[in-house]
Amino acid sequence: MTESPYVPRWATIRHIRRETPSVKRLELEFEDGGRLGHQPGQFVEAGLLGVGEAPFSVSSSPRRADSFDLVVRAVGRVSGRLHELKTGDRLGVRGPFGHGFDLARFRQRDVLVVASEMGLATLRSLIHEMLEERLLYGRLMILVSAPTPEQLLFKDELAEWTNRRDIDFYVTVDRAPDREWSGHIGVVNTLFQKVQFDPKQTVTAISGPPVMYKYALLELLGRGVAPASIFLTMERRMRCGVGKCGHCQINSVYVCQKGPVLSYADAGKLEEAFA
Amino acid sequence: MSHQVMQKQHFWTFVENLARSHRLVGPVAHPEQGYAFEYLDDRWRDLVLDYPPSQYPPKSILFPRQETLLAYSLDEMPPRVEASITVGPTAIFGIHACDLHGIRCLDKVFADGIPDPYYQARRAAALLIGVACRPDDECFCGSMGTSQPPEDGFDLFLTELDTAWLVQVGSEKGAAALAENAEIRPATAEEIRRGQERMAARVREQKGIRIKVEHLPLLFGGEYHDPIWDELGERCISCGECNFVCPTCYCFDVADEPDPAGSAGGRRVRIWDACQRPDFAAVAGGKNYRDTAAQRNRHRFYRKFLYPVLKYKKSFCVGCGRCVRSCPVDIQIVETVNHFVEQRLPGGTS
Repeated sequence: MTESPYVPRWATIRHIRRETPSVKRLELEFEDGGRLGHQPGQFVEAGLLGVGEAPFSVSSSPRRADSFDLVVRAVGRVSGRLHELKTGDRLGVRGPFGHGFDLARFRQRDVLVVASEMGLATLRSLIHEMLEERLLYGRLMILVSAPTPEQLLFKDELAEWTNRRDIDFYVTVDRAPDREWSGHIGVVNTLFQKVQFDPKQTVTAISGPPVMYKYALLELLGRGVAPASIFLTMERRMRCGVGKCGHCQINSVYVCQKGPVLSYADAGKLEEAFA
Repeated sequence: MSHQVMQKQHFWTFVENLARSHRLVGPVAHPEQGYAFEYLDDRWRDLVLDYPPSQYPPKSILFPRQETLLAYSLDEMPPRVEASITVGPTAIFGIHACDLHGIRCLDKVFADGIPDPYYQARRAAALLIGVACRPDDECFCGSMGTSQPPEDGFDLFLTELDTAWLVQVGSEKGAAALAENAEIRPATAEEIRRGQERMAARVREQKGIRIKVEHLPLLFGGEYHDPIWDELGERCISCGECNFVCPTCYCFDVADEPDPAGSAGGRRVRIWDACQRPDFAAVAGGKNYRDTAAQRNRHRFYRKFLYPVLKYKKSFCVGCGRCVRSCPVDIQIVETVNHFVEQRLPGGTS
């Protein structure tokens, strides 16, 4: 029998950071000493034997050779168990799978990144990649949103991005119940008013909950950004990761193979994409 | 490949000889439940070749209902993981032409992209021995182009003549199995003609879809928002039985099965899943991307009649009629396709 695509590689947790009350960032290193070798936007299947696996996007820069980050929100059985793990514990990882962002399409262009809620976990690897090769890209605009200030991911990095002069960075929250928030309040679309960009020169990367896509797409298409210059990450229930189990299918497309990053030129043709 | 003739009196010797080097599988009769493909082992005399469509296709022999992907033991760290299947030569008797086409579909799926070594190991070990069928009222293989065995998708194919079996040899593996285990002689042109006539006679009276298979994409391209999906959705109880009995449905779920308490071992398995089940397209956090039975019914039809026709140039409906026979609410497949044909291409294209 040829090698099974279901055999995991063992990774050890090097560091755990609590991002929000329900989200943890796990920094992992492979016990075989190898790299993950991912593209920004790709995902892995991660889990524990006896519990199961779940899909997670890789949140770290592809250039970081010795470790990688997964950001885990405790919503299910597998993610719940991953939250119980401690530094030094081991988990199984398969992948990376699918197609990430085609960086050739971003280079020499202005880039607008729109990340809502867990979408920032997906887009962080793209953002880091671009910051590490900053000169390859034109203007970099980043819009980030979360339901509340407490639920913002990567707060340390957001502070750093705010201070960088080579990023047009804006952050908003839907509501700020504790009144300790002096920033912008409103859904992510309200941030679009703050950025002026040339739709012909701008490529966009979007990730967030389904409802956000509807409004962000209206805004971007309305401003004249070409469908082929809008890239979205599609969240589906990838069980196998290898284009067989059928759970991630959007019409004829296996998200785990052709996605999870799709251009709107492709995704817009799929009736089930934004159902 | 060639046609041979095996006298009926020699058939059981062939089976017995083959049993020395192969595990045997074939349809057996169950009172009141019809026919089922089963491992025969020493019951090989229970094998039946003249039988109506079985409730389930032989797909479970190549793609078991539940299959171990990994066996693991947590006694050691890192855990020991075993991902191998042991499968010896297996002769599957009595496969109808439509089901051979179904296996051809699975061959394509499991070879596509990242191949599936589990299916491929079972498939490589299988000797596929087809048999001319006895269609019933729900069969429509004639219109799907699946009433004859697929050219490159079987090892041997048997058609009954009066006192003999006409044996069509479809592969080197089939030729070798025959040469080593059977008493045969080359068929005459007359015997081949008689065999083909018997096959043709069996599908002549069938119902069928009124459109050519290669034109299905034209049809389904335009029926996405037809109200019929809502009608089907209102009746459908989302049991998923149509998926389980389908020779070309291959979706599965992956689950871990720890051994009983106290043991450190277990298995990661895959289990047949059904796109008609309500939570099939649900993601963590609760969003369900195919929330209604109408959407799920449409997905099933599109996964038979459109998507694979575009990708593999092959319909993934092989006309076996099982989904209709097993449907508790009488959701029809031929009538649904023909409804679209009437609507868009009155008279059809076949």
